[in-house]
Amino acid sequence: MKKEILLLSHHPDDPTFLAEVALKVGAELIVAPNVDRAVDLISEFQFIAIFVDVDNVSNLRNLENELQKRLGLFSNQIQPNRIHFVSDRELSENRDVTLSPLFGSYYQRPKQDLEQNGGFYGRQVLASENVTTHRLSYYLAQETKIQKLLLNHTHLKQEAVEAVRQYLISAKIPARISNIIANSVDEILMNAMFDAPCDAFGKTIYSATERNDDRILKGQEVVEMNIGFDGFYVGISVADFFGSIDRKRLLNHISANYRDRDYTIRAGQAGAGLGIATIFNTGGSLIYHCESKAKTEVTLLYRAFPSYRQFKSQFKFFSAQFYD
Amino acid sequence: MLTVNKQQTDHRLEVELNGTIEENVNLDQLIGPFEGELIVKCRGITRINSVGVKTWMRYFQNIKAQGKIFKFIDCSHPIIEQLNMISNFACGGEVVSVLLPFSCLKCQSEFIASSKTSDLKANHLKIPAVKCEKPECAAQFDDDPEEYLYFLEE
Repeated sequence: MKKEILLLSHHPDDPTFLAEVALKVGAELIVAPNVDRAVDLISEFQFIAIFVDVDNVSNLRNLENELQKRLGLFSNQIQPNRIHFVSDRELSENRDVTLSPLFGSYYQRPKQDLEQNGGFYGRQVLASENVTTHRLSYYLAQETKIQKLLLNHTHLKQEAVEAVRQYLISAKIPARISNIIANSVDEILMNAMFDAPCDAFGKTIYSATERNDDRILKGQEVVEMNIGFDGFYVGISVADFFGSIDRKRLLNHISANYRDRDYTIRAGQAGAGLGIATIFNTGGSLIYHCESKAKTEVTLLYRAFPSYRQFKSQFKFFSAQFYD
Repeated sequence: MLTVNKQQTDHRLEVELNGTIEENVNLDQLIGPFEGELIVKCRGITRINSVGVKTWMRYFQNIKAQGKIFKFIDCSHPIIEQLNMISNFACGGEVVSVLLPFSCLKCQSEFIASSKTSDLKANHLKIPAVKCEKPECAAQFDDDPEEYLYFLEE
């Protein structure tokens, strides 16, 4: 079946990056010169991915309005899971775009290595096309050994985090970078153990429970972690089996910015509400894949660099994919 | 896990924090009551998770509310990350010195140097040049200077 990717952007770097994405996924790249033409094309084709330059705010608003007018924002032709926002700015500096009903994935344009990073992002497009298990394998080179760990007790979290840290150090990843990745794993494990479990009505069970609570994780509460390193990229995924994460809340947390306003400790909440933003701010890509009432899988991807400076400025993306 | 080494003198308590600050850490218990000012040596803090941040801020906001004076010495990278991400992370305490990370791609070494924040400010936040003992060392500051010292900007 023929596949197409749509690009709505006038930025000179975008076609180069997207050509590599298209090559990776075996699709044809179609560039729309304006919003009107983009909406025409969206009506005509079932694009596997739509890339929109969101630095031009009117571009995004016009696209939303035109789509709403001509197709309806909830049309089958428009799936946020397949929409990718492109910007020169970091997500934390671009909070407004997370409010768009079209928001699915976001990346800040890489300043260099457009081809290589485009090829890497192609893996994300491939992964978002396939709602399957073993998603980590889409992001790592073929034949990469992926190790699986099941956690059936909350006290195993710190042991798992330490095991990840040791794994990275043994893979010759600098200690400082290993600590940062381990910390991110800590956050997503904590969310899977304490924030994901909910009752039949979708009400969270442990959100007010102290995070040092010693508890057996039974049945649906078991948390699965996978880790792999292909020599260039480290991939770690953590899955819970509730599929309960709230899109609005997730997008609010990811773009949280406490640089310019004070952080306030909220009474009645055991979590800090800081973890997700911290993960994305400290380097690496973050992908949420939520199958409603079944599973939420969070994937962390990091390019392994010998220096922290390179690590921190690596190309990264955020993706929030929700499936009913 | 966090360990604390303490030294009380007439006018102050010096505490050296080593390890990870996470959900199992209770700073009230680990540091305990003290007289005078509190000097917190942060060189050995390797990691702080989001619940650790909450624990940290609750503890230091409480002692600030009691009118106590506290200072942070040799803030390690995880603490600097938080100082940069959360505007009120220091909770009114003085950040006296920070650790600056350097790495050399030539000799594959990583090392840190301590620098007083007053010196950095006096030098317009310019990172001092530091080399390891090896004569061929080509060490560079291993971070973005502007980002790393963002919290010191006026």
